Amino acid sequence: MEFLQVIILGLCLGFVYALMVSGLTLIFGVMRIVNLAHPILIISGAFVSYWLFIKLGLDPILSVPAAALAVALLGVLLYKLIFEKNAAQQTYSEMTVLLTFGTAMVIDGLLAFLFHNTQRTTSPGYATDAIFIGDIFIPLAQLYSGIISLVIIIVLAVFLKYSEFGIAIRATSQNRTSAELVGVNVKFVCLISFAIGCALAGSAGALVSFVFSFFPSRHWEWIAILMSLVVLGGMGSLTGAVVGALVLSVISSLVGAFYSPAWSTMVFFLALFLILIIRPMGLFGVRTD
Amino acid sequence: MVLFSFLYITMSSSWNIIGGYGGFISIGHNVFFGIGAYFSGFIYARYGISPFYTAVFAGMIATFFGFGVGLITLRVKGPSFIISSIALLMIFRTLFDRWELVGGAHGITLPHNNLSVEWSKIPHYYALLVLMVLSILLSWYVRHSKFGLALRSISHDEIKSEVTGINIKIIKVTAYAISAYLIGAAGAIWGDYLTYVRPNIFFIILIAANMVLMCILGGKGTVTGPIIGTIVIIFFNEFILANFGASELNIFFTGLLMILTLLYFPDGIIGSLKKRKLLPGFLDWD
Amino acid sequence: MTSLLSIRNVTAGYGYGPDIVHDFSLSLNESEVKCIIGPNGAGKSTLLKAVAGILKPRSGEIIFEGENITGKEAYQIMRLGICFLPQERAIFPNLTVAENLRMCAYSIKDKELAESRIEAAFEMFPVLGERLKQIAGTMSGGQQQQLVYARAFTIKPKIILIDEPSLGLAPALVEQTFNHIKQIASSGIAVILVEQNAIKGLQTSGYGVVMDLGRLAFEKPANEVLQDQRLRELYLGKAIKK
Ligand SMILES: Nc1ncnc2c1ncn2[C@@H]1O[C@H](COP(=O)(O)OP(=O)(O)OP(=O)(O)O)[C@@H](O)[C@H]1O
Ligand SMILES: [Mg+2]
Repeated sequence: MEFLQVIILGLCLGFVYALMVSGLTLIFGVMRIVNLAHPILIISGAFVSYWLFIKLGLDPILSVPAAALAVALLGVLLYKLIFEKNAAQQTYSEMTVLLTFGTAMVIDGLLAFLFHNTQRTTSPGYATDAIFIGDIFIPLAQLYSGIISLVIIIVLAVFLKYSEFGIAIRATSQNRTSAELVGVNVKFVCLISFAIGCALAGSAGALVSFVFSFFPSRHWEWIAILMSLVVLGGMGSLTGAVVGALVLSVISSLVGAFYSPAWSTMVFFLALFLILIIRPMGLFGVRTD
Repeated sequence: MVLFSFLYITMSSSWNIIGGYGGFISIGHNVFFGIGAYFSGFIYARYGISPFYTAVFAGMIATFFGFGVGLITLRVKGPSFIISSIALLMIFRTLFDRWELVGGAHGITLPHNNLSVEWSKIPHYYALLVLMVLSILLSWYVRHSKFGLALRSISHDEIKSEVTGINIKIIKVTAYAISAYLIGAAGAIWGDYLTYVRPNIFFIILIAANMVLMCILGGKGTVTGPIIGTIVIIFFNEFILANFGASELNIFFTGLLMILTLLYFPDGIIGSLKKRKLLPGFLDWD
Repeated sequence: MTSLLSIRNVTAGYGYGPDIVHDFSLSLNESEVKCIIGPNGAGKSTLLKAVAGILKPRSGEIIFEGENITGKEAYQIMRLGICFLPQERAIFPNLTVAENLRMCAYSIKDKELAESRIEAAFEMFPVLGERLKQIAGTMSGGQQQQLVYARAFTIKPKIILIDEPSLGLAPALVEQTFNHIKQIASSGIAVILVEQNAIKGLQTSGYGVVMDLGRLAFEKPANEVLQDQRLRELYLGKAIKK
């Protein structure tokens, strides 16, 4: 029974991780930018929810759209200031990664200066509640955040699969020149994809705010976790990233429950190394760049 | 501050070997710094042998680790490599935070040396000076050797280099391991200087970020670039600390400087001057 | 009469590299078909890329329907009515056939019109209609080729630029491809065709344009080019002999 419970909890968290990583994957797919600033954008979203909760008493679940919008706007600003020049190039360059690294430091430093590196969480009423199904006990916070993440991911997947613009996004990530040749405004697609990616980060932040405790510098740890998911999923494949997130989250929960919680994050880092040894292109990837 | 400059010139010059000449950007190179510090610190605390003697071996341990890790992570390039370097750092951070033998999150506390206060840092001064000179010589040597030529051709185009008969795997991994040596030795000395070795001092990403920034600002892939870059950054940091105090803002400004450098001076100080043919001869060691 | 497209003294090249196309001029009238031939590396593909806006010309200008389109983005040029089918098959290999066709109709604002064009394309290429859900990259070369030409019929541009349509195709497919091109031409779309297979290319075209080392060597009605002595010299009898 305990086993089943851990698996269910792992899955709930897995969906949250999947949401965290989905925006990253989208941005990598379209722009070939490994956005190391993604985790700090998630934390920015968490701060938006936190302040809305403290000042207005707004439930963090309800503040998902607000956090998404705020971070998306921040993303557009960053894009215009920093990444626009690099959006034009089809292939990735090291310098772009370092740019996102610098961006992450800038936001980290700013948030830490304004709000200090103290641990925070939003604590809506259900944060400490749980439901029982038979013997299995599921904390509501994890359950809600998992379900909402799943819903957002499904909406994203449907959008990418069926909408005209979604297909254009996928087409652009496959071949930028070909997309231009059928009349896609690639720069606009890049901008919108970046904004959507950031909105996903923001919405993940709102959910994270009551599942994990957060503080600005925590994003370094999340960088490594999320990056391991992206690599596992095969760089830029949404399905891959989601499956990777679920698998690793469950394993990590099992390690946390049956061995020691201190080692549960290690699962992600070690998985990354294992993948690099066995299949450098990722478990689901075929791309080699 | 002088000590700090020596330390960081050693580190950024070493980083430059794999990051600048080889083109493999590692944002976790301070794992070797930490490994060196822990190795020597542990021996000092337990057996009383001073890090000044064991620094040589600390460097060797770091090199050895570098070789092993390099065999794995250097198989990928580009974004995957950068990610793996961050993950490596996080692994070591997690590991040393939990490893009770070396004091867990509290780390190891080392005995003070028995010199009087004003003399107590003199040994560190000379030791780091030696390491710095060695690192510059090493960087110069790599830049002008056949090995360095092969390394730079790999950074341009791995596949073409392989076709010309260079054993790229050996070259890459060796460069990575070499660049670990002096960083490890410097870690040993620095641990003794601080008199404690802790995960949250040695395994933080800010150190790696500084190494990268110093190289890029100065001009990566040049011998003098890391030296100039380090000096500029150290003065910059002092300036920020003196004027704004909080170390959070230091992170902010370091990041900002990195962005501005990358956007407007991607070749760094030395590289940009060279392109405009304004570089004074005594700074051009390439 | 002003021509539909005129390329005036265009010079183009890649990055910081040398000029590949030098001072090149060419004009194209409505429903005209011109074939550019020339040895490998002459700069034919480069020229087409410059017209399509993938590569910005270094100097010179390109006038389309009286409008200067030099330096416009590729997607803008395409929306104005110049469709470019590059040398490497520009389909989206990981999208399904249906999605590929939807992308072809991306720039058509009127969605009903887009639907009817796609329907028409299915009628013309029934194979595609049977394989709507198939991932395009898994189709055979000939089927992928049909997808490429289905694009032309969906978009119905005013000019279509085709780069080496027969490259790497089996003889039967070459035949099929040239039939598609003839169909396109007979529907009133002007065509600039770049082709190594000089005989086939010239037989399909009204005019032949010979390009060498980035310059215009000469331009003549296609059947005269076929007889031209200079062409034989250029190709050393390679394609022309039989
Ligand atoms: N992307 C590129 N970057 C740099 N140089 C290029 C690029 N593409 C082509 N070139 C160079 O431009 C020159 C002309 O190439 P282009 O493809 O236009 O020739 P072509 O006439 O189409 O030849 P082919 O018949 O082989 O297709 C060649 O010397 C080639 O090396
Ligand atoms: Mg060509």
